[in-house]
Amino acid sequence: MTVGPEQGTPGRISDPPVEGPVLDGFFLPQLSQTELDELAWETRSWGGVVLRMPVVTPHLIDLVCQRLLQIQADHLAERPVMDIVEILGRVITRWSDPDYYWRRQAEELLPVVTGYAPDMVRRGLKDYLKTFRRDRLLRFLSQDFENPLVLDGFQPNRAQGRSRAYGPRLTTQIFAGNVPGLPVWNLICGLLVKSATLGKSASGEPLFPVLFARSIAEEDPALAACLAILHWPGGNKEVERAAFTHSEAVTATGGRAAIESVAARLPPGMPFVPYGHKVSFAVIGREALALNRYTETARRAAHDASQYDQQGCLSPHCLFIERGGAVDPKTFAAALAAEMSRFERSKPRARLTLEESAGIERVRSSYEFRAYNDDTIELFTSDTGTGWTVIYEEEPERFEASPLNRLLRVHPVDGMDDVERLAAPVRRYLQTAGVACSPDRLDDWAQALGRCGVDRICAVGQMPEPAAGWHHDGRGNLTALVRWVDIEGAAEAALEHYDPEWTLPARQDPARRQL
Amino acid sequence: MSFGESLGTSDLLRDRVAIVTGSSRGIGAAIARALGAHGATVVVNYLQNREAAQQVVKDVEALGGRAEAYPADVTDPQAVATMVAEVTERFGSVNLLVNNALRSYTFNPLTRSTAWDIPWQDYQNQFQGSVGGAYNLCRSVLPGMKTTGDGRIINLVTDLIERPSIPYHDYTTAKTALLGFSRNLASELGPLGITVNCVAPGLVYPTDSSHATTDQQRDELEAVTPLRRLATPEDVAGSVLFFASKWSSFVTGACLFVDGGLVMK
Repeated sequence: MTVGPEQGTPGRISDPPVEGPVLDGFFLPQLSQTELDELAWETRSWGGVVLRMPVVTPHLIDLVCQRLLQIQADHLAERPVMDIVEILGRVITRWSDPDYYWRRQAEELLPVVTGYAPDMVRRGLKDYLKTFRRDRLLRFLSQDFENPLVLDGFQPNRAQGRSRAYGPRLTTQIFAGNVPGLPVWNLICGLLVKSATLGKSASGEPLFPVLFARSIAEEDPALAACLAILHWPGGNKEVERAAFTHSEAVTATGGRAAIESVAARLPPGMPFVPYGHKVSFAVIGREALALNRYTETARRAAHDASQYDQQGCLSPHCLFIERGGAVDPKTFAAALAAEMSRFERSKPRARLTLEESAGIERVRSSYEFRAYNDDTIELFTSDTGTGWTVIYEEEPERFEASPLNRLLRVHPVDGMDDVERLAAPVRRYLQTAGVACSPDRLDDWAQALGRCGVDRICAVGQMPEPAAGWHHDGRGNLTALVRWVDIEGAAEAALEHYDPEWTLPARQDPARRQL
Repeated sequence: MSFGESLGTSDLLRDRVAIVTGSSRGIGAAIARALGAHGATVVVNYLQNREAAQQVVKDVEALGGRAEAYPADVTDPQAVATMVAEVTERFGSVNLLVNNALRSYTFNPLTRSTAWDIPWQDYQNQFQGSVGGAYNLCRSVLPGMKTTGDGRIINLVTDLIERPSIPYHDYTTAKTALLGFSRNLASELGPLGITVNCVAPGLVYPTDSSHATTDQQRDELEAVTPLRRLATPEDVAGSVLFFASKWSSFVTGACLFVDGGLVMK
């Protein structure tokens, strides 16, 4: 899951610093208490949650990376991948307990840190973490590796030889803060390929990766010791140069500017896995507009657009509604608006910065004006404030990105041809397409959407909850990190030539020879 | 959304002296605030939670109303009589009564008692809280209401009485009895100009009592509710305002379902 350009540094309003208990906003199990005491520290408040973090210097990065590399070599490099799956599975099982200490901490603190509605965070975390249960981790592995044991040793490959996959010894991972919980996925990817992770937490939400790392430490301290989580101002060149120097791979999740900035500073040849600016949409077929289906469809679509205030890269920017259903697209837009309103009531959107609100107001007023004497445009909005906006627009000029925070455009279409035409300008950035149509049309739709450039097709209502093992942003997320070593089949055959039986002098055993 | 925005303020109830039982939190608190915001003098009755009751009083005052917190166990006839006497002494005859208190109950679909293991005592406890409490309050306020002739009694029941989606045997049976109690009262007190009506909320969320309901249960309930969401304490307070106001002068013995259309009756 990645973010749009506006969300590189989420603009949540922070309240003035409040005196509260100071919590640790870092994870550094590699350093002794004495070493920690010698660091320079700073505290910052996130909407009232006060976090203590070390001031990160290139020197600190050098030290932490050296330790991480050592611990990775000692405890992770040769650890069987199924062991790692077991432990992570146990950690996730713990998180599935509503009374688990770290889960309660997360449910209490993250809404304050991010401004997201508490119920939305609570249910979002639950839905997200369950996609990492043990069985799903296995699927995740087998999605990328036909035989996951290639992570442990050389296994037969299709080319008659054998292959082994080596993960980076150390990966620098730059986390996103737009959707709470997201860095769990980065941490798990790293561990599954036996890489230590130096994680840079996001300024929007720096806490969750720390809580999750601590929960791993409770289950298996050695595994957790392969993780370090720090926060430094994004783009700090000296610090990042030090980090990249020690790393064998870099991942970054963030807005376009952040990704480009990192990419420009990577050492030549450094494997880089960016999860950058992406946009998503949904296509709703006439079957989903049946009289006994359309309200439910609207409810699902409203969920997709409202969850995490539309901040995820999986959140739809717009809906394409097929004409010819039992209710017309405009009626559907009205039903959608009613559902957006209900979602807002139970899970109110976070407060916005003035700039963000102004962005929504600008879009609204441009349509409001046109809607007066134009039947092809209709504007549905929250009673007060900018809580949610649905814009019904029959003839859009092109795919217009939403300013997000629950602003959704609805465009009627006659079929997939219209969708392909409208989505063409953003094809490089497309990610998820939610679909609601009859099963027999899925293949045709999937072909068309694949041509459009999307890399994930899911049901409307499930857009924010990708399946485990999805080729996130169109690639194998684990294979992107590994380096393959092949033993050629011909070599194995050729080495028979040097079998000791043929090449070493036979041992003398006069007694046997006589037999 | 702040309270004032959702249900407004007025002086429609300025001549009303109201007792709302069990109003330190949840639905009762929302009712007390709503009545106060529309001009009634409100007695915030509570059993234990003094601090919460004081907060409701402050809320009412902040909305420009008059309120006082008063502890009394509604199942104790003497305590109720004393409360009503003191309130009457202080503010005048009680002419608006909202019976909202019930014996502490947790709506937990996973730990509820089944038909085959629920003890009779549980039913009795609920009868005592719901019907007994209303009985005690009515007994105490009726003399005053009879004199002035324009009393309003509003009893809180539940939509489970028509649609027990989850069989909370003791609770729902007692609430059904309270509906019967109310209709008989309406019949008897109509000639005296006193109306008796019921408000039947669906699942109200969030409140302390409904906290144990599961996400899934709430999702399913929302999906089958025509208005597609759960009730809030303010939704319930809105209907109580209607029965408390002149707009319902010719309605008695009615039961208004506040559950987004789940029960249509």
